Amino acid sequence: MDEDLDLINRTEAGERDAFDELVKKYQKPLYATLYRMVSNHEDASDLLQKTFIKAFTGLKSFERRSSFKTWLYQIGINLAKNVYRDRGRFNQVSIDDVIIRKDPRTLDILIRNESRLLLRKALTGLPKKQRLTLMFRIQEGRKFDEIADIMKCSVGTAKANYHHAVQKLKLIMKESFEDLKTDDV
Amino acid sequence: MTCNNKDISKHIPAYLTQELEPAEQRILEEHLESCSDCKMEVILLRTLATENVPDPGEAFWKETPGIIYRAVQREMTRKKYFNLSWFAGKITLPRWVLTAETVCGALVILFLTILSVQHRQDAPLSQAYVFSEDTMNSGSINVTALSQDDIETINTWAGGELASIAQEAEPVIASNRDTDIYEELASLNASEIDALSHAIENWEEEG
Repeated sequence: MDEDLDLINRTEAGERDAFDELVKKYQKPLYATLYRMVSNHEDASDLLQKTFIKAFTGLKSFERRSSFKTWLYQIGINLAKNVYRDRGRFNQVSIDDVIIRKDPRTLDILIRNESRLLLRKALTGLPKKQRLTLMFRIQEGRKFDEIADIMKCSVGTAKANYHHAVQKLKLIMKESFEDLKTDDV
Repeated sequence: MTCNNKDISKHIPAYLTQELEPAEQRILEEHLESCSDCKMEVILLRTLATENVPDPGEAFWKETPGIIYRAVQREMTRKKYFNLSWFAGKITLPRWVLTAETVCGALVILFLTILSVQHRQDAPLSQAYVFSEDTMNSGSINVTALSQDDIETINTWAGGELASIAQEAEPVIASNRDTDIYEELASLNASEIDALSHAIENWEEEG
């Protein structure tokens, strides 16, 4: 039997250890995903708790055919989307935050941070599905079939979203570098 | 210039996670040397991949399962009650049925209250009270119909009762013996004397 299913069955039977084990197994990677989506600890930890609470209180609706992990991530991402909708923004990084985090000791670091800032800004300009697909593929190293499961779309759509995201990102970055060069002149 | 070699670019994510076969990796690296577009993609994606998520600390990870467990327990309890109300909400009845139910309920409560009050009024009284009522409702006693034994019993009872009354009245009588009737009469004023003489006259007339 699948390890997660065994833990779920034991959790439903009231075994506290199984419950803790499930939370411990997924809390870190799920937190990382949620943090990348909302960009702050308060919202990420709040979403982490809400995701687990929703999952454990709704275990009866979990179809044992699919993976618990995928189901958990689907819940988390849907909750994070609500935060995004409430805020009207997604992983928006304020320039002040970045400047504070900058280490101005060397020009290299400054340039690197500048690039990161541009990249973060470019990410906020991507459509939500493209951005999430890119995040899952690149930042979490997930396979396209897994991404398709989480995003509830076909593998082809997931690949297309990824491709469009990368192309758009490159375009935005090229334009940004062009602007920088013009400014320097 | 945009690279259209999709066979190469599709391997970039696997290249970043070092999941490519050595031969595939070599081909991709050769391509990267000549293609600025793919090179930029690799740099961008590598930058994205290395975007660190700050670790909230060991204490956070340690306490999270407990916090979630307690929250789940609370939610389950709340849900249990909610389910009952949800069930009640699912019962769809016409409004007149609910109104009739309310009126019937009120009538039943009113009926029970009245019944309770009546029951209290009809409740058996104490033995002493019953005896007294019986005595009161028994009517007059024909003394000639009483036997000698009955008369003796009544006499004994009355003797005892009167003796106790006499005992209680003794201090009052004793205090009144000390008063002088002439002194009392002398202290009366004219109108009181007139009223007294008038009362004596009436008493004498009545015999």
